[in-house]
Amino acid sequence: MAKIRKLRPALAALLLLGATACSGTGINAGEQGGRAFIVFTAMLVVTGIILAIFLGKED
Amino acid sequence: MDTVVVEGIGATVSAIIVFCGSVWLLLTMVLGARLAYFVTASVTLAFVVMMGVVWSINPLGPVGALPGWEETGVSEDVAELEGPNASSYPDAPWEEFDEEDEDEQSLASELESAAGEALGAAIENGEVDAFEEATQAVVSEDSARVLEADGVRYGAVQLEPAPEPEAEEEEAEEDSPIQELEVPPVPSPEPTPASELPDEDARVYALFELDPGNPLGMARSIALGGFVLLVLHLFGLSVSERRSKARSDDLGNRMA
Repeated sequence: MAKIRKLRPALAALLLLGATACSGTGINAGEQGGRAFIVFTAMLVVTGIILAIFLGKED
Repeated sequence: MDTVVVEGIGATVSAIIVFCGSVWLLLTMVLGARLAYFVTASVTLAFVVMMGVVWSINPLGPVGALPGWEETGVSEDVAELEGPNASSYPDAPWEEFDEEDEDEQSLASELESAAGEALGAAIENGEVDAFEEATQAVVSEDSARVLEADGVRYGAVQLEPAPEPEAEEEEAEEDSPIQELEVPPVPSPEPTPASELPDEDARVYALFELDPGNPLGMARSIALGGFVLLVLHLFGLSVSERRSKARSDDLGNRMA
């Protein structure tokens, strides 16, 4: 639970970025493919960091 | 910095993270982080070296400085041009561009367009009085000549007054539906007064030096840089693998 609390800002940022795609205010990948790819990579890296922190290192 | 440049750099870095990073992540689970890095980087660099070699032979990838004409002089009198045998233009030793060679023909057309730009600059600087504007002149047909002296190629062209545009005759067909449309009359530009027109005998000569550029230079730098990095990574891979094997043998001995 403490870990989830610690990761709250990162999770909120991910949700916000994902939500913009549903509302139509996000980046249009058809017109701004480069920008969309950069944001996609950023989301992927943030997800990786969240997973690494949340799951921890295997003993 | 331009937004497009920032976006391009961002997209390139993102592509490395996504495509190389995913391979590294998978290999990390089997080989460990350091060895996985050396394997992924060596494979990527080997690919870069292969592509660099291909691009070093044919300009199919990133190209460096392309060949271009650099202005040496623009004058109304060919004898005033400073260059080897400039005064003998258009006669020998000046030669016509090879009509059967596509590269030569492309150089000739580049020379002709460079001549127009050079004339415009010369008019602005007050070096040429024969024309008021660069648009009043055209390159004379088959006037482009080339000369090679001391390993340097020179190109020269002659510019003459542009022919006056002929008045367009309106030929509307009576049964055409286009006739029913009311098109507002287009104001025609005022004709240039005869006093401002260039003299029919006005001639301007432009001399250029060919800068061969270095179209394959960038690809060769990529190939060389990639090769050096590849050798360093292969050395790192060898050391890392030996260390990893020693550790694995040590662990095996302890287990036994």
